[in-house]
Amino acid sequence: MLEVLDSIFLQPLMHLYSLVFAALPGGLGVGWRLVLFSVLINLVLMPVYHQMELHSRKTNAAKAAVAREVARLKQHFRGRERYFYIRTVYRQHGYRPLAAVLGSADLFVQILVFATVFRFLSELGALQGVPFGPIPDLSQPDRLLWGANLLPLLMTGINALSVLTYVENRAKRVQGWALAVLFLVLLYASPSGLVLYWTTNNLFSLIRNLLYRVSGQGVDARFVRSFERIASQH
Amino acid sequence: MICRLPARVESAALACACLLLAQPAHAYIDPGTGSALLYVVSGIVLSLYFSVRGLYYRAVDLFFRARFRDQNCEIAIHCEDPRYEITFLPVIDALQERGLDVTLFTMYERDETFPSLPGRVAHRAIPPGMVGYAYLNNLEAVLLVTTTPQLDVMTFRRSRRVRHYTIVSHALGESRYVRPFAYDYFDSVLCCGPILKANIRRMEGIRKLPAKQLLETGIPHWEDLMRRAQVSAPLGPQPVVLVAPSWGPLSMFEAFGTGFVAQIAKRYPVIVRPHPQMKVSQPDLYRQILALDGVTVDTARTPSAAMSRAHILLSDISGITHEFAFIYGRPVVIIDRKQAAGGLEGEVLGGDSDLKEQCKDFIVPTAPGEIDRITDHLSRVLEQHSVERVREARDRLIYNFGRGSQVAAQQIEDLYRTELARVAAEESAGGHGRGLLRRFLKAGRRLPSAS
Repeated sequence: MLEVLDSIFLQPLMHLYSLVFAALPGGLGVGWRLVLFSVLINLVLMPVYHQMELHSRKTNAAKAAVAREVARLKQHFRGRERYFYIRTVYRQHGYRPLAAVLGSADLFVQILVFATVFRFLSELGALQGVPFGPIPDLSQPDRLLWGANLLPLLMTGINALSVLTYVENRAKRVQGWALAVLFLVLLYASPSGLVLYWTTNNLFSLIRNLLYRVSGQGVDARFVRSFERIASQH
Repeated sequence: MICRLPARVESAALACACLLLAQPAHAYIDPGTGSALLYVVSGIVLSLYFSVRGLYYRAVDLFFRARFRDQNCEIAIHCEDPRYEITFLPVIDALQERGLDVTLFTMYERDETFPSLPGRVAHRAIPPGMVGYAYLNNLEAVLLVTTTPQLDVMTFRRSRRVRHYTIVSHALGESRYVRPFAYDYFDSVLCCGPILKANIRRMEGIRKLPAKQLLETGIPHWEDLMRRAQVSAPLGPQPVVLVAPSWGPLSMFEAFGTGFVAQIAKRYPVIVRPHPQMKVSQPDLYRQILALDGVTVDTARTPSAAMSRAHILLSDISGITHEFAFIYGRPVVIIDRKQAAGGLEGEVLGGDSDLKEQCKDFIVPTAPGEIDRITDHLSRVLEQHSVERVREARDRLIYNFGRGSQVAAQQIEDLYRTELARVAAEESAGGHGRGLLRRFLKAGRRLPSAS
């Protein structure tokens, strides 16, 4: 069953990544091709980000109202009574936790793309023994910081900064930072080629968030509009 | 001896150890997608929790679901506790006079100490709590009348076979000191007064709920209390103080103990009437009150006898304050504790009690800090009392004072006929009408003409 799903959903994407990666100028070297590959994937995903932003803005007000009311009731009621009141709050706001999660298909698209990219890069033989700048071998951890790995730390720093620029809620910020630390632990000993991809990816997100903040409107929205304009001209 | 490192150093060491021991991850997610994934996982966990918990309550409901023949009726009256019977009995009498039969479901047994019911009233005692509600939740009726709030919120759910749910006021309320969603899912409310009506409309606005039928009814049992007040013995020359607070954390006995009663008893005869719920919820305090010296303790089922003998009432937020002021026209002193609405509907409405503001001339709020001088306050309020002010407020704040049960019966009949007319329309349009009309006609009764 899993194999069938793999053949239907994952393999075509893996094949697509192979084609894109192979199409990048070979003269750049594997390291720069990885950076460029990360930027390309992010550009392709921009419309998805835009949809996510729209969806999130639309549901955030409703979610905030639900959260406020639930928090108020949680202060005063316990156990069974609290359960029934929270259920009523959900009912009055037409909120279904599962539907809210499953309804955001764009979220799953994003997860799918990143998961397959991860798999693609993990299986990429081109990393073996290839140096990139001060990194001696992209298939091994970088060991650039007196034996410690520099790229995962850089990736975490960028990720933490991205959380700071994107998330305004204090509790969610702490949650975001905790996740950044968790991924530092998980990815610390990964091949530096993989971490290079994620670092570029996170840097792209950070720039995107900063531009979003400065411009006051979605960079993705502008990108999508430009894309539509170009498409309509042809 | 084990030497312990400071917690901060321990945490840093642990983090370093994690980094050193970390293995290449094979998870197919990146840090940027982590929060999204966490959102998905937490959403699924939350949904699972709600589903499992909901299944439990559904299973209990299914387990106790029993379909008896006596679950079918036309007008069902649900009485949760004996203290609400006083509200229903005059309405039942008035409905009988109109030729309408009702089935009274009580969540307690009615023994010979209860007043007898009119001959054509069917009575069914159902178990209290979840089992009784499982029974009610499968009832088949045109109309169900109750005093129990929170329909479709807790275990009291709407039955798919009941066409219309209405709630009747058993006291002068304002939808402020009631638990969450008290009136939200009723089809209609038989309102006691304009403040309740306005506040329910406000809640509908805040929660974006469809407007329900809000009928101007009054308080059905107050005319019965008035009759009793009129036949009671005249007041004696020596002022008598009735102390009758509410129960629970808001009760003045809970806040101040019972010492202030002895202080009042030095100047006036005192009747103490503990709230009936205190016996269940605060048994120690209840026993302490029963043991009070030098005062009369009243535990009769209704407070009428105690109220008729008292010149003034000392209370807190209990509903008895309005009965005493409006029915007997006598003054009340309340200990005005600035209590947080504590999750009650008043918290959503905001502000303070409108009733308190509009009744402050004869239901006089007194600061809790004044409890040591409470006897002086009682004397002052007794001296300054004006019956005229009570009458003026009564006409303004209560619908149909003195004829609430007749009005309630008329409105219940209207609701019933309207629903029957709808059933007939559904049947003639080919709908199922839930089979009510068929059974109604099979029973050989004439269809009432829709008014």
